[in-house]
Amino acid sequence: MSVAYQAVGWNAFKKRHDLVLVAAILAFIAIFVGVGLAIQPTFTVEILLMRAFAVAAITLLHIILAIGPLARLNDRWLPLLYNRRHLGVAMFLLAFIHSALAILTYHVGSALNPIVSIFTSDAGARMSAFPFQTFGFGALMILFVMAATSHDFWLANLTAPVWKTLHMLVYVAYIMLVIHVAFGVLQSETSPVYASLMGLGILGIMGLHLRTGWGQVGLETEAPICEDDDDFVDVCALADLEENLPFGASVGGERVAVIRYEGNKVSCISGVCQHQNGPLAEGQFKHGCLTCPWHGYQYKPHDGTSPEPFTEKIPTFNLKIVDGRVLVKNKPNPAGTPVEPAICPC
Amino acid sequence: MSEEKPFFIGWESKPAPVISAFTKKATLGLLVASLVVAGLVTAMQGAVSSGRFEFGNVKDFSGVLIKSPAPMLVSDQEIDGEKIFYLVAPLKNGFSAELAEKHHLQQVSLKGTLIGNDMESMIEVQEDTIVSKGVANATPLEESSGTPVTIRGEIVDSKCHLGVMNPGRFKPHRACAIQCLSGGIPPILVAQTAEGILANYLIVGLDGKAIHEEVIEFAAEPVEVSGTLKTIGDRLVLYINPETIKRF
Ligand code: FES
Repeated sequence: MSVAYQAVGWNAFKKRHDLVLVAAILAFIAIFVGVGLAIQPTFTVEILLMRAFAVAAITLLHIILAIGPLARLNDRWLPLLYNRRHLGVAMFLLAFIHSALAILTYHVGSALNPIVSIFTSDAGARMSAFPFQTFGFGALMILFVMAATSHDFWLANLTAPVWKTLHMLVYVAYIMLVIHVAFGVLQSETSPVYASLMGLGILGIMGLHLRTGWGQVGLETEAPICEDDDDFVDVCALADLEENLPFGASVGGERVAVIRYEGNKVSCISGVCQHQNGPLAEGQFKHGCLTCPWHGYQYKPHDGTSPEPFTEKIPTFNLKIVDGRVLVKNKPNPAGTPVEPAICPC
Repeated sequence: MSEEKPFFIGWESKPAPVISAFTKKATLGLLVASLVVAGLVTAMQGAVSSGRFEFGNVKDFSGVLIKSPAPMLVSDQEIDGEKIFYLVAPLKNGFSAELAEKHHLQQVSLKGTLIGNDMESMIEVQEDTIVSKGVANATPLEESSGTPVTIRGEIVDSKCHLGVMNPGRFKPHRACAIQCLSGGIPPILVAQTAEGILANYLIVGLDGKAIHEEVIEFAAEPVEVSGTLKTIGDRLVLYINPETIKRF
């Protein structure tokens, strides 16, 4: 569970997940090459393979980009989010094999250095000379950095905010790949099916992200300052708290999770998971801890620490219950500070 | 206490049945959709030529070697209905101009690999296997008189287009065409004839000499080429001034 203790390590779910992933990729490549050769037996196998790996990579990238918003819209998708990093690494490997095949096929065999050839063979503002390979190369470099830093070792060393920002570059890679495809192979393969599939993919990803963003608007608006005590903000009514299901709010600009647990105890801790900034307010109280929905990191509600032997800790917030309202102090306590839970008269 | 809402924790040994069921359905849906994409994308690819490259199948050839308009072998016997074969070297290299000069109009034997489509063929020669059998008594290929023409098409390298790469044209192949042309592989203009079929025009300079570097910047782009068209043997040869090539 913890970065220090290889929490997100191998387990039965991950093994099953990766087995299905490998089988799916093999089936994809086999269908692409098999059907391609059955229809056109003179198709050059290297080119067919190059295209198979490219289409597999971009299909997988669409799935990867869709899982995040799908999981925000419906938590049933969370199991697929749990191991998304393996999808990312697999996607990079597919893209890498595609580029290796492209370099071997199109760039190796002349006096010019193949890598130099990637950048010099296309140059110009004309559609026919647009440097689509440069965009593909750039995207591959981003995917490489992301795959290389995907392990929790890097997450711990770079810190979650830096790691998250770095991994947001996937959207830059996606745009570069769309340009790579649109100005590359789609200039020669002109069937409307390709443009339609690509358009559908782009619209789907944009639509899901907009829909998720829209759904989040107003969800964690800043709680109002308490009339009687301006050190506290009024987060919610006690009646809003369902047992074991946290309530998300924003307090002093920080995301928090207020949770009623073990019958009548109420606590408030940061709403940001220390692992990858996951939304703790979308988690649940399980095994005596508030559990993150993304990868299952856990925090005790009264002090924000992970259970032994794990060492993560997040800020806690003082909290009181007045006239059926839950009031939370507008400044966090240092991470891991114990706070006596408020007792709810319910 | 409220009814427990199913919640997935990856490290737990067994997810709730309702979560398992959804995950299975979602995975199956994504899998089927992806495999449909694979089938659809591969099935809709544009038609490639009938070109072939008998990679690994080295054969013996013999005939008269001629150096221009491009290095060719006029074979002693028909092979798959063909008697005239362009000559190129392995990888992205043209046939050695020195060897072409040395063996011009000589009876030779050589080893190589066959490349070809419905229209034309070529041999990827293992240059160290060329053996001269003396001066040929065969006459050079018959040459027609010239006709001025303007043709629209795409300049490609003959080696990939005739069968080493299917498809060996258009934008994704541009880098390869550039490498092959700069390596000395003869350029070809691929164009639709009035009857709607593809024709290959070997491009040479006005003086009949090979041109490569001069056409590289136009590779894999739609171009209009004006020049004089002749038939040499069964090959269509276009004599052009490369400075007059226009993009359209
Ligand atoms: S467990 Fe990974 S973000 Fe919370």
